[in-house]
Amino acid sequence: MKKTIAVIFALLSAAVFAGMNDLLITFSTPGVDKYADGKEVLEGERYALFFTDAEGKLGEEPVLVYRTKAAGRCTPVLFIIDEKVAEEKYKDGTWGVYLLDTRDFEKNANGDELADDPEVGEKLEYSVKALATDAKTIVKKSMDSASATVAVSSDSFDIPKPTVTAIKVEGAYVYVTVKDIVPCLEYTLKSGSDVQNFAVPEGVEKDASSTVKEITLAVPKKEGAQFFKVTTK
Amino acid sequence: MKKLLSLAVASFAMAAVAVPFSPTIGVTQVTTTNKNTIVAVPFNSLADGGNMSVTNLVCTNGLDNGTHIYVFKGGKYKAWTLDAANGWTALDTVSGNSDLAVPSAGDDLVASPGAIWVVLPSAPVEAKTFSIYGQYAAITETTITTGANNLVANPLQSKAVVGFTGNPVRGDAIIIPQDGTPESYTYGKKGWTSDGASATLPNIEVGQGFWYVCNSTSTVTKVTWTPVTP
Repeated sequence: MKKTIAVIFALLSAAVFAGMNDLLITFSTPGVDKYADGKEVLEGERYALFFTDAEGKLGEEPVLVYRTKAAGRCTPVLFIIDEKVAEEKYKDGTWGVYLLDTRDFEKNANGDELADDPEVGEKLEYSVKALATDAKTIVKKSMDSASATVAVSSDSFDIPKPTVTAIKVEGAYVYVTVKDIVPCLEYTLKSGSDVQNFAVPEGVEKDASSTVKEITLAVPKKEGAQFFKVTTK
Repeated sequence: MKKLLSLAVASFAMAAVAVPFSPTIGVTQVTTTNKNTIVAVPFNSLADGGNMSVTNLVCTNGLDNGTHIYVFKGGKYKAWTLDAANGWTALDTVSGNSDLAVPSAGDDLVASPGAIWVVLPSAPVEAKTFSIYGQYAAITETTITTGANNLVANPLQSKAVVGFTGNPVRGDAIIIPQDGTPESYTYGKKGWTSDGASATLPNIEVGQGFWYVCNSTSTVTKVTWTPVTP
């Protein structure tokens, strides 16, 4: 069967560097999205995010490929790119989202079935630094990125402020339990001896939730007053 | 296998989102050498930023079974005792002390910058340190009720100089509890005096406080707190 390739920009939008200089991007489509032949996009179809540099050169590889969770639209996806990577690779350019038509016309003459697509699969074998646990691997199956520090999907991305539900002071550590978290997004504690200056203390590790609703973060206890903020960086 | 790469014609939304921060959380260590200590409620509730439950304020780690928290409400003390199995537990029976009453629902909630009593089972042989925590609130003054005994405490995260909005009058008094005879200051013609001699009000340690006995003719409406500069 003859290969047909049609690429059209859906929309380009300049990326905005969010607070703390990490690049946080969300995208979605309102739908109903359709393939070139007019059929509604299948659930599980891939959408790809590409970067175009300041000279107008389209990236050779997608920055992110995402399998949508609903038919007919790209469900909301958020991803974060470390500020250093963003500065090096994604400065002064624009972004575009593409629908990748991966229907399997050989298995199904009507093209109403997505292919188990080894070719695309190979092409999309990018590393995602944040993916480690089994739960996160599930996310990896539906989303791959060469650059994302972390990538998550949800019904919406009004990212809630994390809420501290409990604090324990035990031994040399303060343990902080946090809810209202976005699964797979990494959270950490910033600490300070006053309310003006916060920093991640040495030795404090980030943590992320997979499916649970709460996480507990630990930070070394210090003498006197100590202040904390929970954040994603 | 054939590949068809085509355009998503639909418009899409792309936006940058801010890095989310939780409200600021404060943890303050209170150190005392007394059995009885007035302790500040300088924080708000972690849950909703509202009034703080004393059972959430005072960390149980570092305290012994039988430690009590007292809240002064409606002219009575309401008490909670530390139980190893259940944490802070409201005293459900009270006898032999007319100043004590069984806590009712909501009695555990104290608005910042309030104050409570923490009473250890016995005077510590060495200085005792425990933690209070909650959602930080920028508080620098405590409202005073005229003609009443006011339980006030330093809400800052540092040792504080005591000041006033309004003027003390004869009969106003500050009583700083300690085991044995409390440290008392009274206001009169010579200003603040202690044991009949002119005195400068002491700086108040982090998280600790005093009774302010406010005469009915006093114009003091607030106690103000200023950090001690090193």
